[in-house]
Amino acid sequence: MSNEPLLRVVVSKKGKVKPAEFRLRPDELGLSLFRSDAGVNPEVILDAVRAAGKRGELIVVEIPLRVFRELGLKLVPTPGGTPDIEVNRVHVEARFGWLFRLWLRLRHKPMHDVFNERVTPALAAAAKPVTGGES
Amino acid sequence: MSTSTVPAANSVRVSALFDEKAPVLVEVRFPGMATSPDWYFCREEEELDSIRSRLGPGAEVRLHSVWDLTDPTGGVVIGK
Repeated sequence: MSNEPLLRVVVSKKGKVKPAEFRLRPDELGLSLFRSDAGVNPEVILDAVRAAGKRGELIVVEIPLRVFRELGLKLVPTPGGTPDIEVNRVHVEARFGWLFRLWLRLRHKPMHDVFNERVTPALAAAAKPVTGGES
Repeated sequence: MSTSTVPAANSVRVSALFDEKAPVLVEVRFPGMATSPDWYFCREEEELDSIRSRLGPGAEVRLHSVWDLTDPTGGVVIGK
Protein backbone atom coordinates (compact mmCIF):
# COMPACT_ATOMS: atom_id res chain seq x y z
CA MET A 1 0.00 0.00 0.00
CA SER A 2 1.30 3.49 -0.84
CA ASN A 3 1.59 6.41 1.55
CA GLU A 4 -1.69 7.88 0.37
CA PRO A 5 -4.23 8.79 3.11
CA LEU A 6 -7.32 6.77 3.99
CA LEU A 7 -10.85 8.09 3.53
CA ARG A 8 -14.02 7.99 5.63
CA VAL A 9 -17.47 9.50 5.07
CA VAL A 10 -18.59 11.59 8.03
CA VAL A 11 -21.36 13.96 9.04
CA SER A 12 -19.97 17.45 9.38
CA LYS A 13 -21.73 20.44 10.86
CA LYS A 14 -20.05 23.78 10.16
CA GLY A 15 -16.87 21.98 9.16
CA LYS A 16 -16.58 20.17 12.50
CA VAL A 17 -16.06 16.42 12.65
CA LYS A 18 -16.95 14.62 15.87
CA PRO A 19 -14.96 11.72 17.33
CA ALA A 20 -18.21 9.71 17.33
CA GLU A 21 -17.69 9.30 13.56
CA PHE A 22 -14.67 7.07 14.23
CA ARG A 23 -15.97 4.73 16.93
CA LEU A 24 -15.81 0.96 16.75
CA ARG A 25 -18.81 -1.16 17.76
CA PRO A 26 -18.50 -4.23 19.99
CA ASP A 27 -19.12 -6.60 17.07
CA GLU A 28 -16.60 -4.99 14.70
CA LEU A 29 -13.01 -6.08 14.17
CA GLY A 30 -11.80 -2.88 12.52
CA LEU A 31 -12.80 0.60 11.39
CA SER A 32 -14.21 0.75 7.87
CA LEU A 33 -12.25 3.02 5.45
CA PHE A 34 -11.54 3.52 1.76
CA ARG A 35 -8.11 3.75 0.12
CA SER A 36 -7.39 6.97 -1.72
CA ASP A 37 -4.63 5.57 -3.95
CA ALA A 38 -6.74 3.44 -6.28
CA GLY A 39 -8.16 6.13 -8.57
CA VAL A 40 -11.65 6.32 -7.08
CA ASN A 41 -12.79 9.94 -6.76
CA PRO A 42 -13.93 10.90 -3.23
CA GLU A 43 -17.12 12.35 -4.73
CA VAL A 44 -17.93 8.89 -6.14
CA ILE A 45 -17.44 7.41 -2.68
CA LEU A 46 -19.74 10.05 -1.24
CA ASP A 47 -22.42 9.29 -3.84
CA ALA A 48 -22.17 5.53 -3.15
CA VAL A 49 -22.70 6.04 0.58
CA ARG A 50 -25.60 8.43 -0.04
CA ALA A 51 -27.13 5.86 -2.40
CA ALA A 52 -27.15 3.38 0.49
CA GLY A 53 -29.37 5.81 2.40
CA LYS A 54 -26.92 7.60 4.68
CA ARG A 55 -28.35 10.99 5.64
CA GLY A 56 -26.93 14.31 6.83
CA GLU A 57 -24.35 16.85 5.71
CA LEU A 58 -21.82 14.35 4.47
CA ILE A 59 -18.20 15.01 3.60
CA VAL A 60 -15.23 12.77 2.90
CA VAL A 61 -12.28 13.23 5.23
CA GLU A 62 -8.75 11.93 4.78
CA ILE A 63 -6.45 10.62 7.47
CA PRO A 64 -2.72 10.24 6.78
CA LEU A 65 -1.45 6.66 6.63
CA ARG A 66 1.27 7.45 9.18
CA VAL A 67 -1.44 8.08 11.83
CA PHE A 68 -2.63 4.48 11.50
CA ARG A 69 0.95 3.22 11.69
CA GLU A 70 1.66 5.30 14.80
CA LEU A 71 -1.45 3.86 16.45
CA GLY A 72 -0.34 0.31 15.70
CA LEU A 73 -3.16 -0.38 13.25
CA LYS A 74 -2.96 -2.70 10.25
CA LEU A 75 -4.96 -2.04 7.08
CA VAL A 76 -6.75 -5.17 5.91
CA PRO A 77 -8.52 -5.23 2.52
CA THR A 78 -12.13 -6.43 2.99
CA PRO A 79 -15.17 -6.24 0.69
CA GLY A 80 -17.06 -2.94 0.81
CA GLY A 81 -20.82 -2.80 1.20
CA THR A 82 -21.88 0.14 -0.98
CA PRO A 83 -23.99 -0.22 -4.14
CA ASP A 84 -20.88 0.72 -6.21
CA ILE A 85 -18.54 -2.16 -7.16
CA GLU A 86 -15.56 0.13 -7.87
CA VAL A 87 -15.89 1.79 -4.47
CA ASN A 88 -16.19 -1.57 -2.74
CA ARG A 89 -12.92 -2.64 -4.37
CA VAL A 90 -10.93 -0.04 -2.37
CA HIS A 91 -12.43 -0.84 1.04
CA VAL A 92 -10.15 -1.66 3.96
CA GLU A 93 -10.46 -2.08 7.71
CA ALA A 94 -8.04 -0.56 10.23
CA ARG A 95 -7.43 -3.27 12.85
CA PHE A 96 -5.15 -3.86 15.78
CA GLY A 97 -2.49 -6.48 15.07
CA TRP A 98 -3.27 -10.06 16.12
CA LEU A 99 -0.69 -10.02 18.91
CA PHE A 100 -2.22 -6.94 20.52
CA ARG A 101 -5.71 -8.43 20.10
CA LEU A 102 -4.52 -11.57 21.85
CA TRP A 103 -2.97 -9.46 24.65
CA LEU A 104 -6.28 -7.61 25.11
CA ARG A 105 -8.20 -10.88 25.17
CA LEU A 106 -5.95 -12.39 27.81
CA ARG A 107 -6.55 -9.32 29.96
CA HIS A 108 -10.32 -9.36 29.33
CA LYS A 109 -10.20 -5.88 27.84
CA PRO A 110 -12.89 -5.31 25.20
CA MET A 111 -11.13 -4.38 21.96
CA HIS A 112 -13.73 -1.77 20.97
CA ASP A 113 -13.29 0.02 24.31
CA VAL A 114 -9.55 0.25 23.83
CA PHE A 115 -10.00 1.37 20.22
CA ASN A 116 -12.52 4.05 21.19
CA GLU A 117 -10.37 5.34 24.03
CA ARG A 118 -7.01 5.40 22.24
CA VAL A 119 -7.64 5.49 18.52
CA THR A 120 -10.91 7.36 17.99
CA PRO A 121 -9.74 10.76 19.34
CA ALA A 122 -6.50 10.58 17.34
CA LEU A 123 -8.32 9.80 14.08
CA ALA A 124 -10.82 12.61 14.65
CA ALA A 125 -8.00 15.06 15.32
CA ALA A 126 -6.10 14.02 12.18
CA ALA A 127 -9.11 14.01 9.81
CA LYS A 128 -9.09 16.69 7.10
CA PRO A 129 -12.01 17.35 4.70
CA VAL A 130 -11.45 16.53 1.03
CA THR A 131 -14.98 17.18 -0.28
CA GLY A 132 -17.64 19.85 0.24
CA GLY A 133 -20.54 19.57 2.64
CA GLU A 134 -23.70 19.31 0.52
CA SER A 135 -26.29 16.85 1.80
CA MET B 1 -44.53 -2.60 8.28
CA SER B 2 -44.45 -3.97 4.77
CA THR B 3 -44.22 -7.72 5.35
CA SER B 4 -43.03 -8.35 1.79
CA THR B 5 -39.52 -7.15 2.64
CA VAL B 6 -39.17 -8.38 6.22
CA PRO B 7 -39.15 -12.09 7.08
CA ALA B 8 -42.43 -13.04 8.78
CA ALA B 9 -40.83 -13.88 12.13
CA ASN B 10 -39.04 -10.53 12.24
CA SER B 11 -42.17 -8.69 11.12
CA VAL B 12 -44.03 -10.08 14.12
CA ARG B 13 -41.18 -9.08 16.43
CA VAL B 14 -41.08 -5.57 14.97
CA SER B 15 -44.84 -5.13 15.40
CA ALA B 16 -44.66 -6.47 18.94
CA LEU B 17 -41.83 -4.09 19.77
CA PHE B 18 -43.87 -1.08 18.64
CA ASP B 19 -47.10 -2.36 20.24
CA GLU B 20 -45.62 -3.26 23.59
CA LYS B 21 -42.45 -1.22 24.07
CA ALA B 22 -42.63 1.96 21.97
CA PRO B 23 -40.93 4.34 21.47
CA VAL B 24 -38.21 2.60 19.54
CA LEU B 25 -34.65 3.71 18.84
CA VAL B 26 -33.72 2.82 15.27
CA GLU B 27 -30.08 2.37 14.31
CA VAL B 28 -29.31 2.21 10.59
CA ARG B 29 -25.89 0.71 10.02
CA PHE B 30 -23.92 0.88 6.79
CA PRO B 31 -21.52 -2.08 7.00
CA GLY B 32 -18.42 -1.81 4.82
CA MET B 33 -19.28 1.76 3.81
CA ALA B 34 -16.77 3.66 5.97
CA THR B 35 -19.39 5.69 7.74
CA SER B 36 -21.15 5.85 11.11
CA PRO B 37 -24.75 4.73 11.68
CA ASP B 38 -27.80 6.98 11.45
CA TRP B 39 -30.18 7.14 14.43
CA TYR B 40 -33.93 7.72 14.54
CA PHE B 41 -36.52 7.86 17.28
CA CYS B 42 -39.84 6.30 16.24
CA ARG B 43 -43.15 6.22 18.08
CA GLU B 44 -45.12 4.45 15.34
CA GLU B 45 -44.26 1.52 13.07
CA GLU B 46 -45.17 3.62 10.01
CA GLU B 47 -42.22 5.89 10.74
CA LEU B 48 -39.92 2.88 10.40
CA ASP B 49 -41.47 2.06 7.00
CA SER B 50 -40.61 5.56 5.82
CA ILE B 51 -36.98 5.18 6.94
CA ARG B 52 -36.60 1.76 5.34
CA SER B 53 -38.13 2.84 2.03
CA ARG B 54 -35.20 5.12 1.25
CA LEU B 55 -32.41 2.75 2.23
CA GLY B 56 -30.28 1.09 -0.42
CA PRO B 57 -29.07 -2.50 -0.41
CA GLY B 58 -26.52 -3.27 2.29
CA ALA B 59 -27.99 -1.06 4.98
CA GLU B 60 -28.89 -2.85 8.19
CA VAL B 61 -31.62 -1.76 10.59
CA ARG B 62 -31.51 -2.47 14.32
CA LEU B 63 -34.37 -1.69 16.65
CA HIS B 64 -34.25 -1.21 20.41
CA SER B 65 -37.03 -0.26 22.75
CA VAL B 66 -36.04 2.82 24.71
CA TRP B 67 -37.22 0.87 27.78
CA ASP B 68 -34.62 -1.82 27.18
CA LEU B 69 -31.53 -0.24 25.66
CA THR B 70 -29.18 -2.76 27.26
CA ASP B 71 -30.76 -5.75 25.51
CA PRO B 72 -27.80 -8.16 25.21
CA THR B 73 -29.27 -9.77 22.09
CA GLY B 74 -28.77 -6.54 20.15
CA GLY B 75 -32.51 -5.95 19.66
CA VAL B 76 -34.41 -6.76 16.48
CA VAL B 77 -32.24 -6.83 13.35
CA ILE B 78 -33.83 -6.52 9.92
CA GLY B 79 -32.55 -5.80 6.40
CA LYS B 80 -33.00 -2.50 4.65
